[in-house]
Amino acid sequence: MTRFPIARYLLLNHTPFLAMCLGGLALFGAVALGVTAALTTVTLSVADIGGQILHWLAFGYGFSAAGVLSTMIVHGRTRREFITQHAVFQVITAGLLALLVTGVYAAEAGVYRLAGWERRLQEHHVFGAGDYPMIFVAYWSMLAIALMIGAFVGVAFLRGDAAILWALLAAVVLVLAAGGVNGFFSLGFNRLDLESLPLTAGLSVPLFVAGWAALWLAARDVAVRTKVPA
Amino acid sequence: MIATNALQVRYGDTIAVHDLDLELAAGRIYGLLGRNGAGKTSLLSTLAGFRKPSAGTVTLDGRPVFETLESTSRICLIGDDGAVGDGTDRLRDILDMAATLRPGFDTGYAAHLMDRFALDRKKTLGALSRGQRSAFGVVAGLASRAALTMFDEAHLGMDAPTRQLFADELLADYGAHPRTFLLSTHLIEEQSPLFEQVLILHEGRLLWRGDVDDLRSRGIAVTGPASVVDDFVYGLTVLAERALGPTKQVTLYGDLDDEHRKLAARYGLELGPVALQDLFIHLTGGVP
Amino acid sequence: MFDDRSPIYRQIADQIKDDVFRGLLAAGAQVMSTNQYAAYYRINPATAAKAFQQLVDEGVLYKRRGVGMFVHDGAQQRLREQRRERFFAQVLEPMAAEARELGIPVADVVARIHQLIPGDDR
Repeated sequence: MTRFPIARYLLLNHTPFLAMCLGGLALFGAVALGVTAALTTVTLSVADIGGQILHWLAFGYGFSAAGVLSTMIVHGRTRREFITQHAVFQVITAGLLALLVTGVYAAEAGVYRLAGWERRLQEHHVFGAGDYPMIFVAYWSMLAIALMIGAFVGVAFLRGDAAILWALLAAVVLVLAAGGVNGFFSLGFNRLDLESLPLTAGLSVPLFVAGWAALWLAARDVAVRTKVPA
Repeated sequence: MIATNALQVRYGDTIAVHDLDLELAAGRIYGLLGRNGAGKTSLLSTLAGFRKPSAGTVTLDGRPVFETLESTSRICLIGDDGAVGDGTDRLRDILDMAATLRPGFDTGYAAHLMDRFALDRKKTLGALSRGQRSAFGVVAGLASRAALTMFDEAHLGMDAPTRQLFADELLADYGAHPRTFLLSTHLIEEQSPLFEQVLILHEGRLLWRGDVDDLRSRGIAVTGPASVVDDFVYGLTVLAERALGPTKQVTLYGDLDDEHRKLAARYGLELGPVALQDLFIHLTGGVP
Repeated sequence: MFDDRSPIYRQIADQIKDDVFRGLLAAGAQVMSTNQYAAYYRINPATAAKAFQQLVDEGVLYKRRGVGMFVHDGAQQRLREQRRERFFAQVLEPMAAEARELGIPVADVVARIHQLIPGDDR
């Protein structure tokens, strides 16, 4: 038997798909940049604007974890395996995507410099335009936590009833807390203005673990109701 | 091999399965019959560990099933929706996934079945017709070679030739790799020859269990003049009555002793067999 | 394939007996395996095994361990005797009873039988 089959399956099948989606998004951003440059003066980082969407895409994809859980159980795996291995998959995939995003920022910086465009980032970020290590860590934190939130909310929907309300409540708290730590979804009152990489990285871990605990609560004995959308 | 002890499955206030004690032996094909809402799907889901027992236990060779990999990896349940993957997944990807997830999955055999059922590997699960999806469920279920393989209405939407193909493949693989099957069905007459034993679930309880032939021999139809028939069946278990003019037919349940048989002959009553399907309908409460 | 009334195993046993009686399955011939029977008739192998067991009990077949089931040497003869007995009990007796109820003279019945089976005037 293969070890960690769920993580293995997800990393070999879902991760490349997500990376491709990211590539598609980058391509779309490049086209949008070209159109903008032809019409008006470029002043903003397009990668930085596009990066915001990743937050929501990560939630959305995370939500599909409920379907993955059902499928895994249908094929004889356990909830416990899913809870641990899906988390491992999230961390690795979020890291990989964050690396790609960082690469996009770097590539964009080169293009802007050649074109002589101004490249402003949104001000609530915890990173500056050239602070690549911090860009990487902030995105990793944001993607991992968003995937985890999507996952436990999705599984809570499989559970139904009160679990959904609890999950949504936990999601709101986590989104706000994570917004303070990594600068995404920062509403002002939750802004911590962290400018230390170890602090952002270090505080992200307990938030991810809190989401993991919520996933465990939702998934540990959930009943599977399979259904194929036609 | 699989056993339940005082198993109960509840949904809020509704009880789907009542204190069920059941034990299935290894290497046999069992049929699970029951009307809609009898608790078949709840029972199968709990046997497979899809659902936690509300009370009581489910064990496979003495080990609990729920959240126990040693058990769940040896059990395969294909639900009546044929959901063995995401609707957007291609069939070949689902088979690859099953091979990764299931220790005993036989990829070569799966390929053979895909050809037999004429399924297109490039299609997505969501794009299949109802019958094709059921057929793909059969592919995934049989190729899992799980020690306990269960199908919840495996034949849903299949046409008659495909159902025969299913029976052929099931019996061929069962002969080559004996294991335990539990198949729920509404097609009693057609599917019952496949079963060594049938379990009839009614309102969450096990109503009857045994040999199909045994069940068949328990139904007797008595036909004759109404008054004579009424006298004859007095004190016997009557499942149903039907009258056509002066003639009456009564369906009896249970063995008829020699005295009654002689009596029937003397009064010119006709004793006949009852179709399994009719017997099942009568046993589970008749036609509403 | 089967009527849905009498037990399947008995129908299979009757079919095999028929084949033996008519000589299609000769003495010493091997019978198909339970799995082959199961596949052919789309039935549970245990049902086929039950039919075979009945035929072993009746002395029609015998089992050679690990090889299969074979037709007994005297099986055809035994079945012929069985059928003869059955003929009088199950065919002739009800016929006689029916003839009496309808008031058909014995001579008419005998004459008709002679007509049906000509050339046997013993």
